[in-house]
Amino acid sequence: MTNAQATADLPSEDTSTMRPAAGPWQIAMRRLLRKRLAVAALVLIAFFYFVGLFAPLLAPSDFRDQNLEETLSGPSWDHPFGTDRLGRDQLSRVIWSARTTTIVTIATVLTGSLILSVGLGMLSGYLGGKVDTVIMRAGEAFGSLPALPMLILINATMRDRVKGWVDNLEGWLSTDQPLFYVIFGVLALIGVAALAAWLLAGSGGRSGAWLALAVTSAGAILALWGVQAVFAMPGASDYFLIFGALSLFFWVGGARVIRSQVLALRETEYVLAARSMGAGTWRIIVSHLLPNVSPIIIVGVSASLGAIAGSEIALTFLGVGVHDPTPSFGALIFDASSQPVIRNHPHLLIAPAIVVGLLIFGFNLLGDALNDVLTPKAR
Amino acid sequence: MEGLLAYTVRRLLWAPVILFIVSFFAFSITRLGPVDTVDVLAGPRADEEAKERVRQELNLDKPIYQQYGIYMTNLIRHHDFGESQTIYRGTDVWDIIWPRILVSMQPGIVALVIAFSLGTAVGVFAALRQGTWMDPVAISSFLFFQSIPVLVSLPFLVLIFVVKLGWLPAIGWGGPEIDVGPQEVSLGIFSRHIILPALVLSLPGVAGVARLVRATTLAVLGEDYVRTARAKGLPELEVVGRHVLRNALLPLVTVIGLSLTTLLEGAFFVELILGIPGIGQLGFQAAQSRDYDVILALVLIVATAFIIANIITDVAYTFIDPRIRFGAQQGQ
Repeated sequence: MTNAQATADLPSEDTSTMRPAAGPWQIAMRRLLRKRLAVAALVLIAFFYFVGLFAPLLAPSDFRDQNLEETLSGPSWDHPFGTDRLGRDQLSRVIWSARTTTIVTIATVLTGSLILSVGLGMLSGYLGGKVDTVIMRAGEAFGSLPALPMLILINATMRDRVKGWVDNLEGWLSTDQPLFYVIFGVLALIGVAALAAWLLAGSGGRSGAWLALAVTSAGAILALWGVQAVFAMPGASDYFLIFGALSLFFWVGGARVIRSQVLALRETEYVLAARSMGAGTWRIIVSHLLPNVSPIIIVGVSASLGAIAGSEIALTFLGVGVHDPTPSFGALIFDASSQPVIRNHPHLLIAPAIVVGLLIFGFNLLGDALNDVLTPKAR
Repeated sequence: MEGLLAYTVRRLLWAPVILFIVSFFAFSITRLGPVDTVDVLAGPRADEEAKERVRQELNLDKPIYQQYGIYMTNLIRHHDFGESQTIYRGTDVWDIIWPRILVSMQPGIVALVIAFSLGTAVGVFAALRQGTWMDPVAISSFLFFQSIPVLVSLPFLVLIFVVKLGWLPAIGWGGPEIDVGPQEVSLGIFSRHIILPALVLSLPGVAGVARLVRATTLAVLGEDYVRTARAKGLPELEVVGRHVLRNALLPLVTVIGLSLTTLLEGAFFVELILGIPGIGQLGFQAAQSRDYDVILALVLIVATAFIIANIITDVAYTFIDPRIRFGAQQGQ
C-alpha cells in the first residue's frame, strides 16, 4: 500500500525509468488473490458458469431425453448421478440446471443490480430533491416487504400473461421475420454512419457524440441478437418472469448504498471543479462519479449473486419459477426431497443439493472477500 | 424529545401510505395479472352466460380502483378476505388462514428464541476470547450454517435423522390439539415434530446475531464503566452480566425484524418438505391451484405484519436506547 502510494505520488517525469504504478484495481486484485478461500470460491464459480454457458456441449444427453426402462436407477458409469423417475440422466439435468441459474443470475444482475440500482441510486444521490424522494420512498416500500411471498404472488398470477407477451415478442423478434433484419440493418447503418462521421470529422471537430452513437448502436445490435437468442429458447417466458420479478426487489439495497456514496462525492472538490468548468450532469455522472462508486457496485453485485441464485431455486422449488421440463436446481431438489424418494433413492438429492450448497457458499465467500478488498473501511 | 416525537409520528404516518401502495399493488396484480380468473372460477365447462355472472359477482367488470375499494371496504368493515375459489371452494379465506398462522408461529417462535439465545452466547463468548483461536472458530462455524440454504440442509437432515437414524418422526405435525373456532390446531410445539423445523430455521440466524453481539460487546468492554467495575473487584460474571450484557444487547432489537424475514422465507421450505400445515404450505397450494384470493390475503397479512414489525423495531430502538433519547433532549 505505502509503496504503491509513494510511486503514485512521484512527479510524472520519472516514470520512464521505473515500473508503472499499480492502479487501485491491480492492488485490489492482488489482495484478493492472496486470500485462498476467495480464490477457491472464484474458481468454483468460474467453473459453474463455464458449465452453465456451455451446457449444450457438455451434457451427455438432452434434459428431455427419457428412458422409461431405466427409471430411478442408482449411480452407474452410464449415469454417474443416476436417473430420475422418468429415466432422465441426472447429470445432464444438473448441467442444464446450471444453465438456468447462469441465465437468471446474469440477467438479474444486468437489469436489477446494474441498470436499476446504479442508475436510480446515482440519479437519486446526484439530483436530490423530488427525484430523490420518489426513488427512495419507492425503495422503502419494496424494501419493507418480505420478498418471497411477493415473488410468489407475481409469478403465480402473471405467468400466462407474460407467456403471451413473450410469445408475441418472440414472433416480432424471431430471425424468420423480415422485420428483424430491417431493424438490424437500420441499426448497423446508423452505427457505420456515426463511426464514419466521427472518423471523417478531422481531428479538430471530432465530437464524442458520434462515437457514443456508434457504440450505442453496436450495443443495441448485440442486445438484439442476445435477446433474440434468449427468446428462441424453450421456457424463455419463465426466465423473463423470474428475472423481471427479482429485479424489482433486488435494486433497493444497492441503490441505497450508491446514493449515500454519491451524496458524499457530490460535494467533493473535483466534482465542484468539473461543474464550474461547465461539465454537464451526464458527464459528471459518467466520468467522475461512476469510477468512484464502481468498487461499491462490484461488492453489491457479488453480495446479491447468492441471493439471486437462491431466489430462483427457491421459486422453482415452490412451483412458481421455471417449469418442467426446463430443469432447475429447485425442481431437482423438490423432486428428490419428498419422503418416499429420500427414503428409497437418496442419490437423486445428493448431486443437486451439494452443487447448490457449494455455489451459494462460494458466492458468500467471494462477496465477503470482495467487501474486505474493495471497501476502504474494512482495510 | 421533539425530534424523537417527530420521527415517531413520521414513521407512523408513513405506514398507511406503504400499506396502501402494497395492498393496491398486490390487489391489482391478482385482478389484472391472470388471464384466466373467470375460467378458473366458472369451471371448465361454463358457457358465456355463466362467465358473465361470475364476472359480475366478483365485480371484475368494474374499473380496478372500484374493485379495490369494494375489497378493502369488506376487509376493514367485516374482516372479510373473500372466499377460497379452488382449494377449499366456498370457505372463508380467513377461516383457512388463521389456524395455519397459529401452526406456523410455533416453529417460528422456538427458532427465534434459539437463534437469539445461542447467538448471544456465541457472540459474548467470542468477544471475551478476542485474539485467541476460539473467537474466529466460534463465529465462522455458524457462518457456515448461514450460507447453506434451508432447502439444501433440510433434506439432508431428514435423510440422516429420519431415514437413517429414525430418531425423529417422519413427516407431518402432531401434539395436543386446541380449538380455535373453525377447526382444531395441533400444538406441535409440545411434540417431537418441533425439533427439525426449529433447528433448521434457527441455525442460519445464529451467525448474524453472534456477529452483532460480538461487535457490540467488544465496544462495551472498552468503556470506562467496565474498567471501573473490574477495578472495584466485581467478579467477572457480574461484570459481564450486569454491566456489559445490558448495554451490548440493546442493538439486537434492530435485527428482530430482519430475522422475521429469514424465518418466514424458511417456513415455506420447512413446511413443504416436512408436511407441516402452516401458511407456507398454504401459499404453495394456493399458487399451484391458482387460488388467487388466498395468495392475496396471505401477502396482505404477511406484508402488514412486516411493516408493523419494522416500525415497532425502529421506534422501540429510539425509545429504548437512552443515548439516543438523551441525545435528542440535549439537542434542544
